[in-house]
Amino acid sequence: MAINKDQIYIDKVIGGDLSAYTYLVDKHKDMAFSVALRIVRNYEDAEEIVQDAFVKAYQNMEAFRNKSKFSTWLYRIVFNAAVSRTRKKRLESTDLDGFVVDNYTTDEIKENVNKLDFDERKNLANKLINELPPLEYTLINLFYREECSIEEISEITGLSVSNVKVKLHRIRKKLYSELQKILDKELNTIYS
Amino acid sequence: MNSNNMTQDDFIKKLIGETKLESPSIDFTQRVMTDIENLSREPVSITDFIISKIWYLILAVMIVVVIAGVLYFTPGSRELILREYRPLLFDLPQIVINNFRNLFSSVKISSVTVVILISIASIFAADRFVRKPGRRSFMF
Repeated sequence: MAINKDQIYIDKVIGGDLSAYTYLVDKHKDMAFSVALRIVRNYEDAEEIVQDAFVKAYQNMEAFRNKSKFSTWLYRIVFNAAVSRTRKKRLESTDLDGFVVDNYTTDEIKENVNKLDFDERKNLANKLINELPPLEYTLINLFYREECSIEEISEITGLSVSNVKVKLHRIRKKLYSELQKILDKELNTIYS
Repeated sequence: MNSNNMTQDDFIKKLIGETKLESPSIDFTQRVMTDIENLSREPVSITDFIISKIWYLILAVMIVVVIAGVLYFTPGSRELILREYRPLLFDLPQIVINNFRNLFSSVKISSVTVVILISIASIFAADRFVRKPGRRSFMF
């Protein structure tokens, strides 16, 4: 189990085995960096934020011990640092309420997407995910990729549990709506 | 969560699994580890521990106790204090020196030694009260 494996390495680091920290950095750097980059939109700034977060996490490792998942703690440091750096910018630039899937059922969309080959699906997914605003991108990645619980996402982002639930629901609807738009466009291109 | 939401969840999870996360530069892990190694190499300030405020307090209390003990327990000291006592001009050094002479008469301790000891104690006390907080002691 991933949590236990992190804990094993955390114990090693606390015990003085510095090299064990490499495992934690390698494991979590991409997610942390993606979140930071999406928020600050600058490669160097994002790297600096994540690097500082790893150092800060190391310095406070003893205090952190067993309080929560290492990833939850690290992402919260990264998220807060990135948001602080872009304090004046709005995290949410898109109104989620405008997206409602009316015309197609989930099964229809799923069927259409599954007809695409792997590369096409991958491109489609990348396009969709990359177009999400920073907060939505963070929420969706934490929930689906990192498999964080609603409570953990709430801890990382500072949003209330109910707010996280509502936002995830809306993002899901929005993704389906966007998927269908892209698929319609593809079909129109093929048949026109 | 209803079955439709669960289907949507599985589908989006699969879709997101097919995307790639952004990666920092190749030497990122190395840079983090270098930072951490540098941090762990920073020397621990042992001096600060030894010359902490509590040590000054202990030293000051010890000096006071020693002087009080000498004055109180040396034979004839009370009489000497009362005889030499003057409310406005208290000749403490003379009393202390006389008492030290009585106490250590067999080892022939000189008054100069006593003065040196008192001077050292005074320097400690001055160092404790005069120096600014956070600055390292001039004694060490």
